Amino acid sequence: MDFRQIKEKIDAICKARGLEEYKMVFSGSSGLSASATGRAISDTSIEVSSALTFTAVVNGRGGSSSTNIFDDESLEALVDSAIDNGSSLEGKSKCYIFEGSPSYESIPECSYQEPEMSQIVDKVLEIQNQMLDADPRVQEGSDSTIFSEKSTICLANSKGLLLENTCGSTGYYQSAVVKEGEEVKLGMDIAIRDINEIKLDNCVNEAIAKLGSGPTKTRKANIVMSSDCMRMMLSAFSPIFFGRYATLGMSLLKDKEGQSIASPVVTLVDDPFEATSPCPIQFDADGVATYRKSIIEKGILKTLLYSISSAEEAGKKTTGNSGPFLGAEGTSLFSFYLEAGDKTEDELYALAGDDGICVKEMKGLHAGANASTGDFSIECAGFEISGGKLGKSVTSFTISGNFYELLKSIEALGDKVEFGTPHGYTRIGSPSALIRDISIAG
Amino acid sequence: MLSKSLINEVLDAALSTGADFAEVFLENTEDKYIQMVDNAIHRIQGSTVCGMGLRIYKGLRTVYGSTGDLSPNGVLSLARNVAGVFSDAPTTQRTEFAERIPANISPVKIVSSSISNKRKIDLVRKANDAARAYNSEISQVQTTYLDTDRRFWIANSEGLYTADRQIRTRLSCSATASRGSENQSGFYGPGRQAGLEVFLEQIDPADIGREAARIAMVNINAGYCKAGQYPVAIENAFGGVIFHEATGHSLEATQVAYGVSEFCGKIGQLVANPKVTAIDDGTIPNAWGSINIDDEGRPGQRNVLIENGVLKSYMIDTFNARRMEGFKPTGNARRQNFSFAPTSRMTNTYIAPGTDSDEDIIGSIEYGLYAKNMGGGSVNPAT
Repeated sequence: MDFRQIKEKIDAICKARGLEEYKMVFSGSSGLSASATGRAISDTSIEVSSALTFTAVVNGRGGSSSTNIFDDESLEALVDSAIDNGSSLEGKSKCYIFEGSPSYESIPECSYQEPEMSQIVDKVLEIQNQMLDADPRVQEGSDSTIFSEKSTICLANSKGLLLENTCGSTGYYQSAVVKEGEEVKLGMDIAIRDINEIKLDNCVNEAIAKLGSGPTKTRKANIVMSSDCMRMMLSAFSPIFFGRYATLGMSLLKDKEGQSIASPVVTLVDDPFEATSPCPIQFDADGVATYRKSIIEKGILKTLLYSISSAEEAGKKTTGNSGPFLGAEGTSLFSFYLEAGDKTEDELYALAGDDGICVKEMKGLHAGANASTGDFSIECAGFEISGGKLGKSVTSFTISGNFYELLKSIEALGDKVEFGTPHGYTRIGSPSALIRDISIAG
Repeated sequence: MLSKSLINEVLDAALSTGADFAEVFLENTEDKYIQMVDNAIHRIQGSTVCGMGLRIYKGLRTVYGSTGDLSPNGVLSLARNVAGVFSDAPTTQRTEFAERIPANISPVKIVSSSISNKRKIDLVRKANDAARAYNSEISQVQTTYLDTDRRFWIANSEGLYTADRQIRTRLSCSATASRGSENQSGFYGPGRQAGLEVFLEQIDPADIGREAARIAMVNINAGYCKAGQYPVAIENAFGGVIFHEATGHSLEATQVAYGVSEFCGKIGQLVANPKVTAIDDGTIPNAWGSINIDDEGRPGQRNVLIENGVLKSYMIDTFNARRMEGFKPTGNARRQNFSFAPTSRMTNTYIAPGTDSDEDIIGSIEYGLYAKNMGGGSVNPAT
């Protein structure tokens, strides 16, 4: 069903209920994917989905409910449920219906053309065969997937605001399993890319380089954290930059704006229009115009991230970071990344010195990283750094410390930012980083 | 949700291009989420997820499609698109439905989704108040209530027609203790496959708040552990998560069927200390992971995975059973929702009791660590 038809029905239901303030966000998406294992396609999928989140303002607070059924009865139940939810809310947190920003960034109309399933199938078999042929140690259990998704977000509210954004992208991931003797290692590539530009990248070489790995000794050492791993750390600890977390005392950055919280080489940015983003977006879940901002600039905390509601609670202005679009109100990131430094990878290894470690792989951040305390203890794999150069592969060691301290211990950053695959409109990026004196348990 | 005749039309369309198996999965799930933070009910969110997943097999290839449009046009269009991935003549005819009604191993006394927000909020408030009263250094408390009411129907071309309803209820509390510039947290969040009676009659919500606060206070008074290698004794109960993560996932057919688990080809071999017997049991009444039927319609089972150190079984869904010659599905199929094809996953996994007492285990360690609780973890099954 077309969103405008749904909106008209909901407007009528709200009018009948006497509900004056409300907003709704509709998401519609379609996706295709194909995966190959061995030398054959193992599975393909076709997805068409849609969902609607409705928020009713009751006594100044927003109760919400969501559904993916759009018949009259379900839409009435949706509105009634949101009103019921809103009537039980308490506390200082208010819900504001926004009349719209004076202007919104102009972004090109989405021209993304979804590939045909046959094109996806042919390409995924091509890169799977490239992977299997790359080295005799690559196992049949290695797999490749190519996916395509196109989605539209529509936001409307009782003040007449109506905003829409459509984006789409194709991406892939490849997981290379290599075996030598009894030792098995894994290498992985994952990226958003035009289907015609997808080809075997680095996963086989990465897996082979890990062969022959051993333990490392317990010590404090300088580490070079790969861009992948830095990105995972930023993702795990991103809530400390949310204004609401700080207001609630769950981030130690409350009232630290203007203070030094990180090394001077650190500039942390959130940018809805980052040049390589497949999904630029001109509004947040409140309908506020989005914009690029530095959260940390040369080590100084410039701002936390706010929605209208969380900004009001903290006595600040919204930064256009309300989200997610579907579900209850919170804080969202767009392209959230550490700006690049000026060092090549080799220069970072050289700066690490004689007894360093390059961390290339992390596991279990959902359990080993605590955003409310900043503490982390994470299983890693990587390479020793000896004489300023990468040495032997090492595995099953743990790095531990505190993220707030880690920000201050970043001594240098690599010259290339790499982004992970997007989750909705959020993607996180980082260059590699040289970090001093991290505790390592071998 | 759909008439049997429409489901038959969907299955026929799905089989029309050479698939040898087709399966329809229909779902209607209602969730309720209530969160209290800063002493106030901050968020109440309800959601309904409803739709159809359609899967076909052709040998070792599978095609999956999903849609939230349950109109005849919507589901038949999906069936044609899914079938369109193949282009052969039909090879398999649908078998007439023989309806099965699963036995209910997890009785529910009070259906959570039928109860007002107010009664649920009372439970949340009890947990919150108990956590805050525990110690003056508890600076923040976040309490969350969640209930899920999942109804699903499964029909396939082999004549299966069945349905079930899974109701789960959870109350969790996260307490933050603050001292100077340091925060530490504690979390406790029991849940059951049951209704609201869990927190009205069986578990006192105040105990949940106190336990979260107690953990936070232990952590704020704790020092940091010196990095190194230690002998470790692991507490029972949630300590079993180390088996779940480090071994359980590697025994799922998702990995084993593709040869990317360290346990491939090791049935009958000693893979653990003979003291270790590991079990995945989907038949424990009202346990969180229990199932009357799995997401392919097979009854839940008790599967002994490792017995006295010897590998006995994997956890297998129907598609991966095709890849694993000599193995049958084990009632472990699960899907996140109708948008996802099922895969093999654990139900309730645990290590069976041994003969050593806690005192003997701790007494055997001259200097080491006692892991009282664990946050979870992850594993690379291939390595």
